[in-house]
Amino acid sequence: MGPKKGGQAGGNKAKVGKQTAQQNAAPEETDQDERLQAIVLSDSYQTRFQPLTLETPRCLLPLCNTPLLEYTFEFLALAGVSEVIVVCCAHADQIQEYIANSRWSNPSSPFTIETVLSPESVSVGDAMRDLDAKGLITSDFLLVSGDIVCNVPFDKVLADHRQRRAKDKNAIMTMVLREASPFHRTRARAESAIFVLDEQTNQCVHYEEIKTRKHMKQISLDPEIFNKHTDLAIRNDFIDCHIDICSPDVPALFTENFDYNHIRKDFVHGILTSDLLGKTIFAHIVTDNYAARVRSLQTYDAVSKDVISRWTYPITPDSNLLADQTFQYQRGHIYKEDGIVLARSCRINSCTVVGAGTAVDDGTVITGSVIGRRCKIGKNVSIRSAYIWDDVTIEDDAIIESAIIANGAVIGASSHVAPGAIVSYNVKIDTNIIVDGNKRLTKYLGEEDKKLDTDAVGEDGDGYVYEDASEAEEDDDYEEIVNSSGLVYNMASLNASDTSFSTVSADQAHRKSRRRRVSTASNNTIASEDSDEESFLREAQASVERAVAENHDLDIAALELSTLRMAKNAQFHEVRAATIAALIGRISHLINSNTLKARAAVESVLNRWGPLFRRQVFDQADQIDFLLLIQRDCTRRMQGSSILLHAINCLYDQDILEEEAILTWWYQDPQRKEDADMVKVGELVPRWLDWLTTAEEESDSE
Amino acid sequence: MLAAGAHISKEKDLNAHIEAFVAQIKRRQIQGSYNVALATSQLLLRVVSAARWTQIDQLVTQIKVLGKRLQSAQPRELACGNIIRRVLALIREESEDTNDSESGDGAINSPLITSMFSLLSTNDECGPNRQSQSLSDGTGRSIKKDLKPYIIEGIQELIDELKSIDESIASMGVEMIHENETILTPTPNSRTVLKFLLRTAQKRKFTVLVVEVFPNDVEKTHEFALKLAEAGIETTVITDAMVYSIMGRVGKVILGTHAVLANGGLLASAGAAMICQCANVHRTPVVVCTGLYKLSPMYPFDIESLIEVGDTGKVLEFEDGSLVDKVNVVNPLYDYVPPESVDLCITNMGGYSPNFMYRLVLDHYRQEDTTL
Repeated sequence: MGPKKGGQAGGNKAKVGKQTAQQNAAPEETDQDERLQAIVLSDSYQTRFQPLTLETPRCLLPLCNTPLLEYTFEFLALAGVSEVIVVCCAHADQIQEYIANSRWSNPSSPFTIETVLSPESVSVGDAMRDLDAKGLITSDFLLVSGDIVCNVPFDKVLADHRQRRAKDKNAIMTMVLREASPFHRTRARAESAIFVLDEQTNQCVHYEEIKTRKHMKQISLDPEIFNKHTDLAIRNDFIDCHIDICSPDVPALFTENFDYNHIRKDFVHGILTSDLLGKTIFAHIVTDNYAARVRSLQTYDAVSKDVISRWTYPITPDSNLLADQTFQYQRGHIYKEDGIVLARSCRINSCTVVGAGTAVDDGTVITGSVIGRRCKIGKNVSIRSAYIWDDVTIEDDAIIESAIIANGAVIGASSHVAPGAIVSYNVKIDTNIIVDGNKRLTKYLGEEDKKLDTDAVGEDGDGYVYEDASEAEEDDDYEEIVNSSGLVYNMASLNASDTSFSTVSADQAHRKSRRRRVSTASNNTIASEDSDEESFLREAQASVERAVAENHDLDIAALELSTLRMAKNAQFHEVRAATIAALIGRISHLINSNTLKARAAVESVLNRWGPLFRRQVFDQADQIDFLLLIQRDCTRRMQGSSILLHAINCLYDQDILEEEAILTWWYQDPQRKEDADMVKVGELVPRWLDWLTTAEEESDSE
Repeated sequence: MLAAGAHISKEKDLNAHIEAFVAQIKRRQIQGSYNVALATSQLLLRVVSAARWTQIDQLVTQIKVLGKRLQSAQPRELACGNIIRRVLALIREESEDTNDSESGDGAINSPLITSMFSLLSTNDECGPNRQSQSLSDGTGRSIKKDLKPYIIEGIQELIDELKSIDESIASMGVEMIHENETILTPTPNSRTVLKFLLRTAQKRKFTVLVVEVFPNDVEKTHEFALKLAEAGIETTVITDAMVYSIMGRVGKVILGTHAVLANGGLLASAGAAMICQCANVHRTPVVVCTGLYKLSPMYPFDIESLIEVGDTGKVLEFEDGSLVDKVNVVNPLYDYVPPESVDLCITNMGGYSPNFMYRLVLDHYRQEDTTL
């Protein structure tokens, strides 16, 4: 059913495109054979919007009276996507229901839409691994979260990406970045990052997250980068709204590296720092259009303002994205729906959105705010930069500044909601109450029944002060996030006297000298590599030993090894050394405990686990190195010489070692006999070599 | 049974088509009055050929409902509504013609008089009369079978007219532009003006000053100037600020427009009103080139509700965080040019004074369709 629908819609669209003879009317017309998939991650895997997100998923929170998800879909429709897969996690039922009832499931939708449940995932990485396991991804796809607002024409970005892919299969990802000055309101303060880009190709060569709290003053780059790229730009002036074009390798890489969670911090950073994978990531820098992501309360505020002041044109309230909306634009960025009752003496100032069915009484002043539908606003109320959702009642003389008031809430007469506060669904606030800026009120009960917080909501009020459970555990991080993602910081002037904030700005100003070109190689110290190597050897050996002892699946053992290798950035030489140490150790344990004879022990272990080496030993040089490692290891063992002999025989049978390599090792490699132990342990080998050559001759003579 | 099923699926298909069209208009994937007009008429062609009706009023209501829906998708794009009204007028005319020829009494006054006057008289006296007539005459046997091909043919003609509009306007260029005249044009996004100038350049030698209309059309200006220059016309691109100082040397201002209102006023690219004022001060004639599909029966009672406000990012760079946060920016895409500022409108029907536009409106639209 799904694909059929898509075909119809696509066909219709193509027809209209031809009629209008417009270039961007039907982007998919040009590349119909290359259907573009999009993955929408509906969950944010964060808690920043709590307590609002306790009841509604983030992507269904209203932004200017339209659910965030609509903006994402609108962007995907503009980008000419033909197939959308929505990954649902928290509140999956709500999201599914919303999509099923939306116009995107109609036959007129420009793409087919499908929801995929991934209830266990707790990070982007989990979701990607889930997708990989489900095998839904067939070609290059667009990866976005369900909370973006973007009007970038995508054909150019996509064409660039495809061109790069055609040239080089390893260009697995293109990140779309919007330029913006360091203190831009639409940038999420908590998630700033430094991108090191090649000036000519826009290849991203390094990614570093900025931890605002840690007073980061330096980043270290691999000196190798400077050999490969002549012109580098180190930039901190991007809004990174996590719009990526990914190849199918990306989910596969997530599966391979099961410790990757975050798409930027872990994945991009990981891929770029491990030179073994040889994958490259590019950036596409947008300078003309709008792209942003609602990832914190601060950006919620900023993006709302951007939508109202038409930076996101044509995605503005008066486009009436939802079928039943009737917004009309008026001078001064005021958007009003039909059926609003405004008292004669109330004032609606600029940059305001008012939804249908709302009544505003005498003397009320509304400035720069969003008011939802069916709200009742009393006399002499003052509302400034606030976000008031549907069905809210605000009684006379209340003052609301820079706060979010969710559906169904009631604010009592003469109450004051201070900047930064959040009043969640159906909370009732009594008269004459002052709600502090850092308070988040909710009615949603957690596990235990709490008593009503009468201090916060008043005698007749209804609601609790919300406390984040994670607050106690990670107070440092939490504080950082709260400080920098709260709604209010955006409105505070940047020169606020608040100490924690001014340290942030000082820190950022430090890095403000963006685009500093680095053309000479820097002498970065390569610190603590030795210790890394040792710890890798220890861990890898332990991992193989565990696998052997607990009789794991071969693939799992191999996967574990390769993850370790990437995490520690180790060489294959070390991987081999660790594997050999573990396996020979096992063999000698079997022999020493008299369980098996030397030959049987070697065969039993290597026949089972030998194939591990297939993923570690590739060419002849590797094989020689491998032989030397075995030889060296055997010097430490009882009956080392016979183990060596049988091991070589066994691995030769398995085709892991080739004759040529063995001969080169034996006759030509100087390291083979660098000390007495090495010579001694190899004493039995000539016999095997004799057998090898005679066998060869025999087969030749045949 | 089977036929009914096929009909339902066809209807569904059509509905999906309309929804997709609405979404595209909202997304500005179909943009510009010409493209919108063409797409609307093609959509109407599909709707009419799929529609089933027993009485002509049913079809009219159907189209009106559709028109309302399309119009509300983008209320500031008037071309869409214009085409709907044209088609409605066409349907009404066809049905009246059949009625007239069938029932003798209706034909007493109409055959002798030209269509324009019959239209006027319909509205004045016999309007309600005729309405009731067509209703009561609904029994008028199988008019639906006869009518459908005529209506489709009419829409087909409308489409052909749209496609050839620029040609017929361009052919009047020779009469407008003199040898060695200096022309100033502030609307480089107009295809009509481009073709007008190119066509005239085959016969005349003249100079064109292209105004840059910052911020919305700067790239288009450059393309426009390039095309003119390639055709061998002496072309100069000037900034918007230079217009007044250079106006004294200009022979004519040639304007493309987004829409023409019933009073002869225009909605043209932002900046056009100022340039027309400037031309008026210098007594320089202002000539407007427009296709009839841009002619709207609306009067500019509330000018602001007609002017679309565009992308703020074109005026101010979004990168500049401190400005974005503190400054309100508005980017209106069109200007209202009052009819007094315009000297002549060249349409595909010939040249008219802006004061005469209301007659063209009456000629092409029915009053009962003005509000959809």
